[in-house]
Amino acid sequence: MKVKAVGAVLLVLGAIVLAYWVVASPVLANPGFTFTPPDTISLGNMKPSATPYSGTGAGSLVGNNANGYTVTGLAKGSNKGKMVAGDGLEDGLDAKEGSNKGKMVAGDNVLANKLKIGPSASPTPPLTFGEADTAQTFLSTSGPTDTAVPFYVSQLVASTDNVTSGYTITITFTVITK
Amino acid sequence: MKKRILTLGVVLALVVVLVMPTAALAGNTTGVTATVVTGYEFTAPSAIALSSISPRILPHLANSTDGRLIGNAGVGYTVTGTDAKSDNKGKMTVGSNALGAKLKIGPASASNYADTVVSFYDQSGIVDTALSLYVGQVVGYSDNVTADYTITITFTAQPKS
Repeated sequence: MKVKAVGAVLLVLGAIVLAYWVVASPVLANPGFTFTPPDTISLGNMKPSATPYSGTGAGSLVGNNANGYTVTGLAKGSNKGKMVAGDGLEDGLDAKEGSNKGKMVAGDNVLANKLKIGPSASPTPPLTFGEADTAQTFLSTSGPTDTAVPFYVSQLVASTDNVTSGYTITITFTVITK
Repeated sequence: MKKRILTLGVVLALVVVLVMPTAALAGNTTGVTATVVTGYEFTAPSAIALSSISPRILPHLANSTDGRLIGNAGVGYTVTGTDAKSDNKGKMTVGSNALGAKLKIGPASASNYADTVVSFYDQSGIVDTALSLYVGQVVGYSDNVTADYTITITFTAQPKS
């Protein structure tokens, strides 16, 4: 009896969604947008400097929402915005659970200054450029969208930063349908 | 019958899962990577204008405090400064005119003639410090009256050996 009830519920649920999918297939067949994040940026070898190291990349957003989209990005987790480097990717990811938000990390090594991110070094509002532990706005459109999503990063290196390779940070992008 | 209903329900549930938009599951992250290497950056103090200087016994004084040395070599660094030219070494010149007295320079006061190699920094360990240039120029009664006397101080920054 229970099996029959579960089966019936699944059947009804499936039928409803399937019917909706058939009727509104354009919506479901296409999630509304396709976002491609920028490729990994390598800042290369960095030495202590009063001038930040910078790198650029570009993702893309294609969507048909009449009201447009907003794209934000930030470093998630507790190490938000800081590059970390260590003895492997797992350490880098684990370090994100620590207390160095926004900083690049390599194992136990954490850069003193937070990574800064944005579409450019001085974007026009509502686009923003700032430390990676807070969400920065990379794109804001008001209609159907087919455009590149520029990605600019900036990292200051302090004299106290440990010399080692493998500093890394991951920026997570979020596309918001207006 | 129960079996068929259950099977059909499972199949439909799978269809639902499979046809749902996958945007949320798509990759939306970008990595940034880098390597920190040993090195340093030296920024010389900006230019100093003594402006209009007239003959007097006491030197005309001025300074520039926006130099900077930043480096991560544990052995430390040295920074020296001098007038690197050969003719009228240490003297401000304009064309064929040279002031009679040599310019004095230093990191905290105008204490050494500019034709010598003057130490502006010499310490062990990593560094991130501001560096200043102080200058002092005595003007004699015999110095030609004209504009645009100039001298260039050449700094050399390097890790200690």
